[in-house]
Amino acid sequence: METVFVTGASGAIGPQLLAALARELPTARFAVLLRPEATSTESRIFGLRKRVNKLAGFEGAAACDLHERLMPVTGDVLQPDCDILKQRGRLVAATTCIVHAAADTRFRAGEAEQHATNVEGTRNVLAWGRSCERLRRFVLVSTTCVAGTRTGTIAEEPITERPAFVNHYERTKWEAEQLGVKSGLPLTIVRLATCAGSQNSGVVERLGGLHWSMQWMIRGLVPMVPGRPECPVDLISTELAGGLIARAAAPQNQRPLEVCHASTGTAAPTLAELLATLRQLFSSRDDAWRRGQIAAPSIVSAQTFAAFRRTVETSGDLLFRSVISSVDAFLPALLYPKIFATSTAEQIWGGPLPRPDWRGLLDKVLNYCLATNWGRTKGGVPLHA
Amino acid sequence: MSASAYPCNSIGLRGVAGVLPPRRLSLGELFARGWLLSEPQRLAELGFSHVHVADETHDLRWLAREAGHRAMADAALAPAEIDLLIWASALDSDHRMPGATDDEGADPQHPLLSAFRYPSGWLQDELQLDRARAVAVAQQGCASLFAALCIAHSTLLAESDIRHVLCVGVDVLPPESPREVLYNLISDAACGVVVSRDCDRDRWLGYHQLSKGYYWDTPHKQKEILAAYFPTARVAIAEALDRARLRPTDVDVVLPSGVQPASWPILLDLAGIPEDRLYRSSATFGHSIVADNFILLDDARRRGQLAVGQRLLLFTYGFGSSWCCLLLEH
Repeated sequence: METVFVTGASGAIGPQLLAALARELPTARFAVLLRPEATSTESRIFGLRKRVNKLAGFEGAAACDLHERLMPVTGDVLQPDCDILKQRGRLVAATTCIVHAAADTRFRAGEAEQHATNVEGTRNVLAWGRSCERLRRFVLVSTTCVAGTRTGTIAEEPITERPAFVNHYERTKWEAEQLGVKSGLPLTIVRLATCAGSQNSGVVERLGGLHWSMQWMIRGLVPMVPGRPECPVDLISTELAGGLIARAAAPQNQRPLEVCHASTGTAAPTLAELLATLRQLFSSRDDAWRRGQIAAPSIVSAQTFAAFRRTVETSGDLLFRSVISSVDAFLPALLYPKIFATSTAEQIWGGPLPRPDWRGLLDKVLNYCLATNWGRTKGGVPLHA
Repeated sequence: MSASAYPCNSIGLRGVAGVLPPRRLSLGELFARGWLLSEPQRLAELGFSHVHVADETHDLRWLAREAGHRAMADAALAPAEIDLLIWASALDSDHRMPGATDDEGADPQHPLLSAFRYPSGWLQDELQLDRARAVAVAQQGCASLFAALCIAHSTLLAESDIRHVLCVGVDVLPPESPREVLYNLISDAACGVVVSRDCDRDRWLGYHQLSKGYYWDTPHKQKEILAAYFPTARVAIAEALDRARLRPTDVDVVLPSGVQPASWPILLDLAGIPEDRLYRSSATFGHSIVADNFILLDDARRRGQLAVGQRLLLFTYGFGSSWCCLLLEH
């Protein structure tokens, strides 16, 4: 019996990841780490089961099975041994695979917070993994951001030489990878490109820099974005992210160490194409855009954007500080064009990675964001600044 | 909507004059009077130091009269040679002559008739422009004088008997008014520009104006206006240059408005114009609503800072909302 220990189940890709795992490993049980919170663990796992059943397309017996297969484990990656008190002995004996997806993905979060979750959290989960007697695979969910300011083609291999980084998120995720590589555990690192949302429904589990930038942009509040027009913007769906991680967790995957990219590779749109598409999408929904009253943001150099940021900071305008913060979170990486190789990912996937129509994906995601007023209205996901 | 005038090498700016009232108030003095919305330090960091403020002697009348006189003197024209006078002001209060008393006498019509005390007529009379027609430009914000010049240019093209148009732009904030608008410090000022045919001084190369009614409600759309400023300005400048068949690097001198000094290198970078083309005046005066670019043009002409054949770009934005770009050849 396979038992997969999963962290980050309530995160941006969590439900899609669990749905993909449930399909990929039809007999496995999933120990889902949930932090102790005010809302009861039972209530949260109930909601998660319901959501995963829907995403996996489980009905009837399969849906009932999931009730048994998806088990909550109360704990916290920030604590040694993940602070797992109950069920510890049983999990140490049963766990065959760990999927560590918990992370602080807020690009503008403080250094200490990022370090605690992304570096120390990974250290704790790796330590927990070493105590699991039957562990055959540790899947570390990472990000293509670990390439930092490198440009060109990024290979699917550990980045041993430390690159320069544009934010703490990039750096702390790179440091987490280094811990994984040095752990000696049978490791698969899955680096995810920017998860825009669900390609099927447009649902965004957790809004990020891309979505907040879209919000400010459609309101005509983004005057400029830093980047290069030709820079690829690697957008993937949560289905691809979850699916590739699930396949990396499958028993047939037996390599001691591998790195793969959940990326659109050479099919990624350029920043100029992305902005042109957003302009079209906004025009189909907003009269001021349709009439050409709102101008699309200009693509500017890092230097010019920094000058603009200085004027905003000097003025003290709170709204524009928020706008800058969102844009800063998502876009500085676009000053460093790069393409992510995907050959290992394709081996794991068993063929070419599905390349969702990125325009269609953005269309659906924008619909979702508008329908939920960026997560503020009932039915939408909660706000995560 | 956009409006453009195409190059016509026989029309130019024959006379230019910028006028500031002599009274200066520092940031500290403005703050003490409660005329600032931001801390003085913040405005200093944005590049502002002081403003010029009209007083009882140097009021709207004085500013307009001086601007008209000096522009005609610069153009070496007599009042009788002016065919058209265009008054341009951004503020509603500057389209009505000050000093009227609404309850004068027992005439019940007086309050209503006082609303028709127009400064364009007053200035025509004051300057004795007895052959001229008088009109006014309103609702263009800081772009009012640009709009006046566009009308002057179009009139010169359309009417062969018109030879010289005097445009006078003037704005004086109401007494006790705050002197800060969207992180810009506002001076009272005026400028006069004589647009003439058969003129080889600052010849007209092109003009382009983008007007976006979406931003008409300035108080409610102020954030959107701030955000729209740069990308729309870039488009306005690019289209103006394109219509004049010029490249950004063909521009030799950019005469800015007085809005945040730090914003100009950003705009020039967006427009592809090298930053060293930005004209930097020794005198600073904040933002004077309608007169900035022409105060600087006057300054550059008088100081001999412009070489014959240099291409000048003047840009401004006016609430309303319009983004305006004027191209000249010195």
